[in-house]
Amino acid sequence: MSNSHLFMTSGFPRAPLRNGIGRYICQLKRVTLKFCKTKGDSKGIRDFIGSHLLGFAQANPGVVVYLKPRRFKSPHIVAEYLNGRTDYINCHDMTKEEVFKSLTQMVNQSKREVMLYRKLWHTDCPSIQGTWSPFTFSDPKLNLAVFSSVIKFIVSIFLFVCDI
Amino acid sequence: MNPTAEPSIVFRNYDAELYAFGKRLGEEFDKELLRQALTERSYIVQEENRQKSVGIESDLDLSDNNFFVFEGEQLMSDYVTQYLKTNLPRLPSEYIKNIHDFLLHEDTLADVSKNIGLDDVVLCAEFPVEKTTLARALKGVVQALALSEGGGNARAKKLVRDFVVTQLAGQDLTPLCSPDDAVGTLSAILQEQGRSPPEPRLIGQAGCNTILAAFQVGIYVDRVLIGKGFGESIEEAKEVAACDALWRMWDVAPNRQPFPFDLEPPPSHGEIFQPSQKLHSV
Repeated sequence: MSNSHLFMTSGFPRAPLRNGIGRYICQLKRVTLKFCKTKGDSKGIRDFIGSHLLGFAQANPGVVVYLKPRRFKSPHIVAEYLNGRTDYINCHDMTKEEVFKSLTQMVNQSKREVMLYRKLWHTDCPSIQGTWSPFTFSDPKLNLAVFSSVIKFIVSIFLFVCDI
Repeated sequence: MNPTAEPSIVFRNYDAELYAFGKRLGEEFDKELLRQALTERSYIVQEENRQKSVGIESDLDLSDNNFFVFEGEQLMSDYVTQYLKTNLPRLPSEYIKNIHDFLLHEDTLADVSKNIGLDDVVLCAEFPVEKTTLARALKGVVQALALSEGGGNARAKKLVRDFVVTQLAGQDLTPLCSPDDAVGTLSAILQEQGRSPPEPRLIGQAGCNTILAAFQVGIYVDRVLIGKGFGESIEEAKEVAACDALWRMWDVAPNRQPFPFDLEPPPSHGEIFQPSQKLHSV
């Protein structure tokens, strides 16, 4: 564990907006591909745009794709998610397959805050037995009152008198 | 998209954003209807002022979303009430209304709205977009879907079910269903049902005369235990036990079965409501 982990928040894995209970919505809302039209390090991303981009956009109609040619700038992808966070991947010297892989990764994540998971599951109702009380594990024998024979006799006489 | 927002979003394509918004929800919206449902009055005023300031005759062909918001709210409210009444048949209507108000509260709707990306496509003057505007936009979108050709009332109801009603998942309903006078309410209900009055009995106590005193009271009706509760005093424990009995009676206790979020919306007005197959199997 490094120093950067000291201030990491901890929590439980949760889906944003109970995603998937009603219907699933892709959390990536916008992706911007920035590249140079001439430089060599943008070759992969240019190939990707030429061959795979239309297919990608058709497969993910909920994601808006923007292209930004910027002269002599290094190629990168900026992704924006529904929770307002952004993600940035540098595509320097990547092949088109690697660009596609990065984009697929962005489509499949929600970009939730990176946190220390206390458990790998979450439940709203962690206790089956209910809230603990001083009587939670009390002996069931206490429920059965034991009458002595004298009390039994008095009670039977009392019931007999009541009947008359 | 908000033109007063950041300069970096100037390059955004509003049509593409609207299209993606519809596709993200898996719905087919009528483009013009959706655009109108997202146009706030404040945006139109702002645009008119901007045109005036540069000396252009104002010829904006924009209408605001007031009608959409009003109708959408009606649709949502009707459907949510119907859903709750179907799934909580034993809960009195005042508490149904509490849950309904929780679901249609501005904060809940604004949260949903933000998480489906409505804050990017709503047209309004202010930035950041206010909660009221976000909630209004969601209502407008629901109505736009109901009016769209690829949508309809049934699809709009499904949208409400999938994004608004699902907020009930993991939600504790007991604070929304707590009467002020639980013992009185319980007695009244039992009397109405023709059962004998509730009989609170002390079934456990620990630490009497200390600051950590705990009393456990059980409520019995016809010698059957119907609710248990704890308290620092007997009176308090009685009230909690009565609440517990009521929650069990109304089926809103924390251990209730999850709501069926895949329930098909019933047909609209004029048709007789038939419970679907799902309801029987639950």
